Amino acid sequence: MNLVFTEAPGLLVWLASFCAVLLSLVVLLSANPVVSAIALMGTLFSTAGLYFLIGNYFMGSIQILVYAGAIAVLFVFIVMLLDLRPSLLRFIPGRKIYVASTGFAGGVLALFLLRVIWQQTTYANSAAINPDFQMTAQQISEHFVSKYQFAFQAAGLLIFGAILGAIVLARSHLKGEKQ
Amino acid sequence: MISQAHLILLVAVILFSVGTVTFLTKRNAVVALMGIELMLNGINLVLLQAGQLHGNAEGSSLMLFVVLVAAAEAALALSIFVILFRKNGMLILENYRSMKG
Repeated sequence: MNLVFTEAPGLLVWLASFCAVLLSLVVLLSANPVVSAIALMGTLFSTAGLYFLIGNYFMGSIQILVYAGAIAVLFVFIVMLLDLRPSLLRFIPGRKIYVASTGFAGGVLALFLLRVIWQQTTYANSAAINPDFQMTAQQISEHFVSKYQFAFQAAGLLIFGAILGAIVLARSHLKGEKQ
Repeated sequence: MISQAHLILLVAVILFSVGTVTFLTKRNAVVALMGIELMLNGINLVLLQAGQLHGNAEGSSLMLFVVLVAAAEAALALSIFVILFRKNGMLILENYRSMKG
């Protein structure tokens, strides 16, 4: 076992983990889409806290700014705008066996992933592990201009395409109303 | 006693599995999309923890790409949902069975 894997988690790590898991279960089990959206926002904030506690402050701020600040707010906005009423049937109806077996398969998936991760981390190369590492934004930027240069450009193109797609979708709706 | 790295990996696995079940079983299209966001969040957590353990910025760089793709996907999917809602007045997934090939 590596030294990194014997360090006990602090109280804040337990708290953030508990909040993340609990709120993700609220997203799954709540019948009201507004409650689901707010719980999703709470999950994103809890994982941002985990990023800070891991020691990756840059990514924690990105998580709060982009995920909790933009994507989750977009979800809440859409849920409020469309007035999605809470439904009595929160899951796909008429298929109790389907829902139950999907839940069971989710549990099996979790166990399988856990087993893989446990094996990989137990036999990880100790020499490659550096517990005192401090991530800075400069290191990411250096990756973006050297190793991931092409992927960075492609990502910019993807965002451009998404903007164009959103504009086209909005315009097509306007045109449909005029006719 | 569980270590910090293992606890965080455990949380990531639980987030991914709960997201999968949410996506597969929910009736409401917006909530199903929230399941995808939960899955991406679990992936981000694994990426960051692995990058921190190995002491380089690979995990963080990959996570930025995941965040970017998630943002593009959420913007497009939600605008499609708005159009579907205006057309049909509902966003219940089992009513769109005709879209399957």
